[in-house]
Amino acid sequence: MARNRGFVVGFAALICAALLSISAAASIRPISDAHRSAALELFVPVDGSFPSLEETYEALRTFQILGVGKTSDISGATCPVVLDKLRSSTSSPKEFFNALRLIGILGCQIGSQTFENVASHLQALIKDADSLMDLYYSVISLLHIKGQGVSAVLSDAEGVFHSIKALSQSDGRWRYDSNNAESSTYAAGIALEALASVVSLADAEVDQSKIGIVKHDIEKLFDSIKSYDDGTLYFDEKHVDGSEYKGPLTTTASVVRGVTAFAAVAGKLNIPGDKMLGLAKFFLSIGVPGSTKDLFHQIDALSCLESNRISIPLILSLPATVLSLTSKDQLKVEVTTVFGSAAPPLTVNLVQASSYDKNTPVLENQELQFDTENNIHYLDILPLKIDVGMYTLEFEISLHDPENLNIYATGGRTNALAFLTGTIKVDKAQIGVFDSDAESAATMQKLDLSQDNRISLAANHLQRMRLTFQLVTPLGHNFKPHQVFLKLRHESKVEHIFALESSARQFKIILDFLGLVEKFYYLSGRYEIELAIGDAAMENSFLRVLGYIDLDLPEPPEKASRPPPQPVDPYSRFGPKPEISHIFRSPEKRPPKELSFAFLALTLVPLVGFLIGLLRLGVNFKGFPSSSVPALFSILFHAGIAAVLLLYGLFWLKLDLFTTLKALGLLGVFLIFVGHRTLSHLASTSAKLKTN
Amino acid sequence: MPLFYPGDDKGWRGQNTEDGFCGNQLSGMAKSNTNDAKVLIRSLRSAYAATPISLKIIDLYVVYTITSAVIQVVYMGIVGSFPFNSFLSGVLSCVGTAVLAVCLRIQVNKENKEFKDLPPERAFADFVLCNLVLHLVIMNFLG
Repeated sequence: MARNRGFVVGFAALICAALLSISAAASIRPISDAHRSAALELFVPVDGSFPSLEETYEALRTFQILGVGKTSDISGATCPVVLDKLRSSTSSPKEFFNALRLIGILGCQIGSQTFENVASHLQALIKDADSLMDLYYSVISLLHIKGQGVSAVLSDAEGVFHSIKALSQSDGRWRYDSNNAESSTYAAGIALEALASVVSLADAEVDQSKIGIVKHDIEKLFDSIKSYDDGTLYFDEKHVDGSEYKGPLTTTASVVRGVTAFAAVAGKLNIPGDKMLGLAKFFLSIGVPGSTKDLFHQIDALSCLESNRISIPLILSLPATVLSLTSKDQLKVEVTTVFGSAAPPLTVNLVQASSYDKNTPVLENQELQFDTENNIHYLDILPLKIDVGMYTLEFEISLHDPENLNIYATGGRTNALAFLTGTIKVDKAQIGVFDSDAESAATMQKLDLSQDNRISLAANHLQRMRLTFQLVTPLGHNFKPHQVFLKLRHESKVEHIFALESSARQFKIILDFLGLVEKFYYLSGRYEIELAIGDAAMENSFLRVLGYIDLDLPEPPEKASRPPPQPVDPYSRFGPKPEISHIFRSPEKRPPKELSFAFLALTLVPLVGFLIGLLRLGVNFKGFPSSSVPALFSILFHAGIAAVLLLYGLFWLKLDLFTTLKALGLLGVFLIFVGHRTLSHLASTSAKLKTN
Repeated sequence: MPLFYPGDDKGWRGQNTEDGFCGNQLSGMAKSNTNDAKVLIRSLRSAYAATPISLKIIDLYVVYTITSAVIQVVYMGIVGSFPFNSFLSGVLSCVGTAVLAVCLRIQVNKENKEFKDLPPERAFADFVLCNLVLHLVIMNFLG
């Protein structure tokens, strides 16, 4: 049975894989609760605050847009930090920027005098600033101060506008500062946001011609937009180099922020709605990002798109892409903004539904009904007589109010993949055994696969077995599933799998046992017949035992191959292995300690005897050289021998052979030298004695 | 090693043949045997006393090493030869150095005309060198 389970698991995996590939193709869904719970999981304050003001802003801004979390928990710890930054005279524009943009969300109580001081400080910074980022931080900070109800007016708005614009390039990108020749798309978004702030801070109206030039720049910038195969659009840097590169998500978010901010102050921009829709789809197709930065950029950019003045993207999405004909599912379509709020009155048309494999249209021009309660467009597919299978659906959105055409972007036609599943009927199933030469005279047994009755057949090697059946869809068409297999399994677990061929109307297999004896390893006996039919669109995919066949095969010749050893059950393969018991060599029998020590003492006895013997012989050191230099050499000689012996001792205890030999080489040279000097001195003295 | 002088050798054999003839005089034979042995040992000792002291040292050294080897063999006989290489190292170290000492004795002996030209210092240097090489091998084998 374990093998059966393996087979079924394999089936399920295949079907899941098929379904996954479909859902991936239609994965664009508006922001949902998945994002809200992800935001709460990703942005986790430590002891009531986030590590930096920038991260605090990202967390709180994401919470604010998604409508989750509480800012009051954070403000207690963060407001004093914000106040510190504002009162410090050494704060950089970036620190002012990070502090000021938090105040709006946190609602810290800060006196207007502090704001005025910061505003005048920022005015001074703007005058000296020459890099884009400094200008951006200062200008946005001023805008936040203005948002707090403190009058903050940019005195030289035209001049600031000009100095930001001076950094732009002809292709719509911006440079970070005048010394840097490299232009960046990310910087373009930053610059546009800064320009928008300058316009709203200006005391007098900014020259419309200048705004017109910037609008032209934006159009140029949109010419460099990139696209993926699924129709999503994004911005990325032209040159990907190490330090400044931010990735497509951050870059696109920056541009979206800048463009929507600029459109808010400068009026209508000439950007096609399809591009805004493509950008929205890019952010939504990311799904739920895994990092806090990505999540912030995604949500923040989408919130800019949700209510922009260019065109608000409307997202068409399918809540379910697998529709069952058996349970009479309706084809449901949602049209919402990126955050899932309701779209203006509109009609959704199913322009065309075509089979995914053959690309033949099966349905055209069906208007979807609108369910005002659930805000869902739906279509009953049962009366439309569509068969099971995978379909490409093409939708078209038409807005009722023509004025909305300028406000919303519907993106023309939208494609989606859907899967229709149903119960497949197994019809006219027959199985039988017949002699090789009399196929027409075969007596076939009817099989009812809906019931669990087992057949039993018997055959010898001169006979054949035939199995035929038809597969019919709910609409009465022939159905060809992904997998149709027949499996014969011998008692000894040796099994053989045959794929069934489909002719025009039916599936059929004829097993000629004469040709199969070799393959069956001449194994006579009872074989279990199993039939597997499976398809992703087939709700009743099955793996069933049909019955048994007793095969009487000839005796194997001598050279016949043996059946292969059956593979181990995959479940037991990952189960616990039998414990390995290590057999260690039993320790040798050792003598008692006392005996060994006694003999150790005994080996010392001859040494003592030797020393006593030397004393009795009257050994003396008279031969030892008396003059200083030979005496020194003599001492060194004996010390050298002692050193070599010590080295041997160390070699026995811990050194290895190579270290020992190296040391021995050095000691040996020394020993030869001093030995030669000593012994030649002794020889010369004895020679003198002789001659004397 | 002139332990046996020709005269001693002859005398000893002569005593033996005499014993063979007086096989039935048991007490007389034993008495003459002890006397002969005493004479023999005395003559040996007197002859050995003439040996130079340096050779005596070497003889003592040889006796010392062989005794050590015998003790180790006895130990092995009692407890078995389990760390066999250690046992071999110990015994061969003793026997090897004894053999080297005997060689040294042959070369140093002034009676030995064959090595007349070889100074004893040179022989001692050989002895030291061979001992060091021998013990390097022994230590390696000791385990």
